[in-house]
Amino acid sequence: MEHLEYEFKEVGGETAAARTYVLVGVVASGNLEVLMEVAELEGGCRFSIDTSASGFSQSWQAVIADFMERFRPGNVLVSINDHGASPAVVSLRLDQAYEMLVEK
Amino acid sequence: MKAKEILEKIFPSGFAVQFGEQVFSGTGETSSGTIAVIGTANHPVLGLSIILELSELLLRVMRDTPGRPILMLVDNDGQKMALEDELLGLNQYIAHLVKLQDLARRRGHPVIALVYGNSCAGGFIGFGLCAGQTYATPDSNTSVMILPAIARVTKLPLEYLEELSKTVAVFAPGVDNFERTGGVQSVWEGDLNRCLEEALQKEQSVDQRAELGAQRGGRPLAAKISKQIADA
Amino acid sequence: MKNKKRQSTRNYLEATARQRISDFLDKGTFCELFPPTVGVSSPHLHYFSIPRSFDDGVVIGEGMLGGFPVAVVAQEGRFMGGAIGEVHSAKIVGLLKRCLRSRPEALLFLFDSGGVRLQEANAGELGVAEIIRALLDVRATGIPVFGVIGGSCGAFGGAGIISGCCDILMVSEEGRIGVSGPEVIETNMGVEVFDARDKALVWRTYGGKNRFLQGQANELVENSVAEFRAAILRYLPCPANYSLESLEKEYKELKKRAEKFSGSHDALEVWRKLGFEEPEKIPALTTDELKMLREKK
Repeated sequence: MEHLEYEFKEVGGETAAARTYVLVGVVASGNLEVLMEVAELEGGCRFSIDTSASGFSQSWQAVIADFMERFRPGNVLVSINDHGASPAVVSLRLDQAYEMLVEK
Repeated sequence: MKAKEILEKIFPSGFAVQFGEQVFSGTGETSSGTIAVIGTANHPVLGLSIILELSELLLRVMRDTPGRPILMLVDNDGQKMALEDELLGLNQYIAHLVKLQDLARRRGHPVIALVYGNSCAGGFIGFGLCAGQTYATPDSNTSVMILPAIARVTKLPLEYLEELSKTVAVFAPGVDNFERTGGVQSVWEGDLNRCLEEALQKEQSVDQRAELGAQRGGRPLAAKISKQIADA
Repeated sequence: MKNKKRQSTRNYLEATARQRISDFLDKGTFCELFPPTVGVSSPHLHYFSIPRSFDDGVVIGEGMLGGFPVAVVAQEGRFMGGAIGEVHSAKIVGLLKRCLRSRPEALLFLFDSGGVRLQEANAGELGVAEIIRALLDVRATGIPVFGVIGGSCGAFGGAGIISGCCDILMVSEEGRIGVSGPEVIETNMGVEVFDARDKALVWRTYGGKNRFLQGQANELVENSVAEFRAAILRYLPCPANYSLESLEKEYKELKKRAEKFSGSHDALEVWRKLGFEEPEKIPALTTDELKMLREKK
């Protein structure tokens, strides 16, 4: 089990959230749970990850950087419980969560 | 302790109990009056026929002697594990037995369970944990699953679980663990008649087990969480 | 919008607990209680190096169903097999207690659980007992409890027992109900008596059709959220029925069933004794076909 944290200062983007939080995914083998909520972070974003698969911090960093680049979110707190999901699945869940967060 | 021995200790003023092979029933005398006694012996497993027998006894108490306190003496090795019982809906039979204990309490019968032998998993829920309060003797066994089986299922070493169970009360078998988590109100020792008399005085309208579990440290969160939700 | 279109045809079995609730209730009416953002998950799983879940495998809250205010519990079968631990059971108990004050028209319990979580065995076991008591408190005040069983874990162990405490029980063909599961029966009785890998046998024994045909479940419903929703709406409003009379009636039924079918080795024997002349055809029938066949009896 490993705990990872990533913080991003304001990236010049904005998130027009339609709800205060969303939860996508389930904590099952090969899957993960993403809790995405609006938070006062001075325009920045924070990621807090608990994963059953240790030693993949570089992979997480890459997927998260990609997500930040794609959506340029602001004031979003992302908490994750991961049970060995692949980077592709992580990316999918992050996207799903964000789309649900802003969907009217 | 065997059933007869325990009855003698609980009812020094006398009792009139008929013993079947697995089920026994009758009455016992206390200073507050007559108590209905329903119990199992020789650690049977709870299958359809024994459940129906116990159910009928509870129904009879409710029908014939409204308000009479009920003492359940618990000794079982869990639910019966057989195709026929599952096929015919064992879950529904256990639920029926549980509802009878619950309804008796609602209708004003104090319902007291005393584990004096074994009490296990579905058998413990079915006959024991759905009384108004549950007690246990120090030499009895309360469990969900034995540690070696838990070790096998969770794929963790038995030694690790044994060590962990010294400080964590939530998973390992044992009366002390069930007391710490609030499931067992208290352990009956010494003067068992006095223990019964005290139990008969206790209020049974509110489920206090989560609160007890928090006070005793075995179940730190349950009471707080359910209260937060109920009161929000 | 994509999600709206899917609502009416959503496969109940494949949906997550959150999706089931969202599709079950009137749109936009669901308010989750003790949401994942509260940040309380299992304090025990880390001892077993098992990842936690923000909602500990159960979603609770309030909303509207066809205009009726309801309280809902939905277990997530994909998290640890829906197994019941300390936080999971406390959330359910909290909602049940709340119902005594909020007085919804009904409580909906969407089961999807293999029973008590071994890693928190005692807390789970006590949690089940507390849920049963709180559920019966709700029924005792007149609020009906509907049980819905159609997830991949069904309702086993302690969850199976809780399901037997509901006013109305609805099950899909895919749903299963029991106390000890197929593997345990096989271990106990031998593979000659029960082969846990024989799917047809497993569903004949534990599956929704058998439960429905024997009267252990009130309704057999198609595997879709829309169908379950419609089935419940056909009952509402209705009172709870928790009384000595109802339990005496239940006792008679249970006694008769045990006597009539004692010695049965397979559901086919039971179905034949119930009056179905070609019981081997029953597994292949659709839900509607089976209900029509039963009506003819």
